[in-house]
Amino acid sequence: MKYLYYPGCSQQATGRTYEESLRSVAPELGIELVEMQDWNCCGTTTVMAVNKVLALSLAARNLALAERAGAKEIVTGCPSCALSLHKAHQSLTDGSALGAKVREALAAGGLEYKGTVAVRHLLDLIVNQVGIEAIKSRVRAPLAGLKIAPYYGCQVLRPYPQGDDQDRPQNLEKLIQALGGEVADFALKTTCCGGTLVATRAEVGNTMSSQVIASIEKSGAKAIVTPCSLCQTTLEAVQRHSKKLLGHKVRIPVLTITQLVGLALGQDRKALALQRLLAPKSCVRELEMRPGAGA
Amino acid sequence: MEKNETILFEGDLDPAFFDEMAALPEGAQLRSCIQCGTCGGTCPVSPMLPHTPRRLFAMIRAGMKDAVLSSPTPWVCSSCYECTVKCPAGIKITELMYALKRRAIREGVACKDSDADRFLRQFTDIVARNGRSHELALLMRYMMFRHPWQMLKQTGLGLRMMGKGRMPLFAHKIQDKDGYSRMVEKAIELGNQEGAAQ
Repeated sequence: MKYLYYPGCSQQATGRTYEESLRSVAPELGIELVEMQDWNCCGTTTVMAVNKVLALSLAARNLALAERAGAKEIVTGCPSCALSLHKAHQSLTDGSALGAKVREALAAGGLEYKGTVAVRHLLDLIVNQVGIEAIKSRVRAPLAGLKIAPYYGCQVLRPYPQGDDQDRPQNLEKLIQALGGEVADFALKTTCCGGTLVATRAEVGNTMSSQVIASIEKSGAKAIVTPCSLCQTTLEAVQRHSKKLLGHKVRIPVLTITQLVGLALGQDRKALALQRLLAPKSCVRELEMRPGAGA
Repeated sequence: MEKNETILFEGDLDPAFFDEMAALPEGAQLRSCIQCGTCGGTCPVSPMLPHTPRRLFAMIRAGMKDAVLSSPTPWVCSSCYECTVKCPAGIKITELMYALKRRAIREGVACKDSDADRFLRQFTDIVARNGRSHELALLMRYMMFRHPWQMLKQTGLGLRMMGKGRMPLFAHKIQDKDGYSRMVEKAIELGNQEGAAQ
């Protein structure tokens, strides 16, 4: 299936591991991604706190470009981008006064949006569209014996459930099992990692992300998988200070969903951008050299 | 939690504040708040803050405009939407936090114990100019002069991210610069009008 792909800013910067591994695994999953031309920042939660019409217009411009390109669906790996695009779509299709203003801003830039594009997050696409059976059939190096923590974070589930159950999400668990791995059970699966608070309010951000890490460590997980590149970076970065925050060193690699899928497909470290992870080489090596990998 | 011993004088309150907040699209359900506390119970940051969302809504209802607009709570809200999906009254709490942040920025009264507002405005500025965000420029602008110590502490992480190719030096620029700028200009203008109408 062919999809219009909206990367989002972080996927080509701090979240590069996500996009590079996505480009490697997508063809094997039968997904053809075509990157949208001249896309812009979705506005994310940040611009929303400064100017609402601007935030929605930024996201809406991408929807308008997608519509003009004839796409019915737009796929992104970033939960925050998916949320912003959903929100803009909603404001432009609910007949509100706010939507009229966003339309006016779009028109000033020579664009319009009729409301025909659906927004889809990659996790939903992989689990519910490609499907668990299809994924299972492509696994060549099952993640046997590997205990993996399914960490959702917040915006992939809230406020829009995006193909999952908001209270008891299962998409990551299903994916881990389909790849032959073992699901680690821990309490803070859907609790926010703190995100940008690490920059603006370090003490709060660090407390949040170290609590998530502590909860995962207790579960005995050997790796963490997340559908969000901001969560990936935050959970990787906080482990650098784990000695100070938690009293002992913690070194658990944090993978994006596409890196995990790629491991089970038997793809190599370069293809999956494993060399870009912040975890020490030895931890990443352990993932590659596990018994089922056959490498 | 600290004991609130401040005496409130009626003359210091702004009785119109509650109506103004409830009149916003985000505030449509604000009048239905029964102070159940589900929001504070689900919020991952409120244990570290003086005001839970519940308490903030009680303060809004009481007309404590100055205290609400200078509260740290909206600035520490991480937009995780736990409260929004759990609120039994259907109050769009996260959206209200954005509305409070916008109003505090506009009135120049944003919480003084952090400068998160500066971070948000700088991010917006970079995106409005380039079309995409640029993490390195943002962090440098935010930290260089005001948080040099924090910047030094983060240098190790920054260099490691650069070494891993995850912190590009240059910003990506949008191709349709003219159309994009016209849209951004119009949107900023309309957004500011929306604010002024409050």
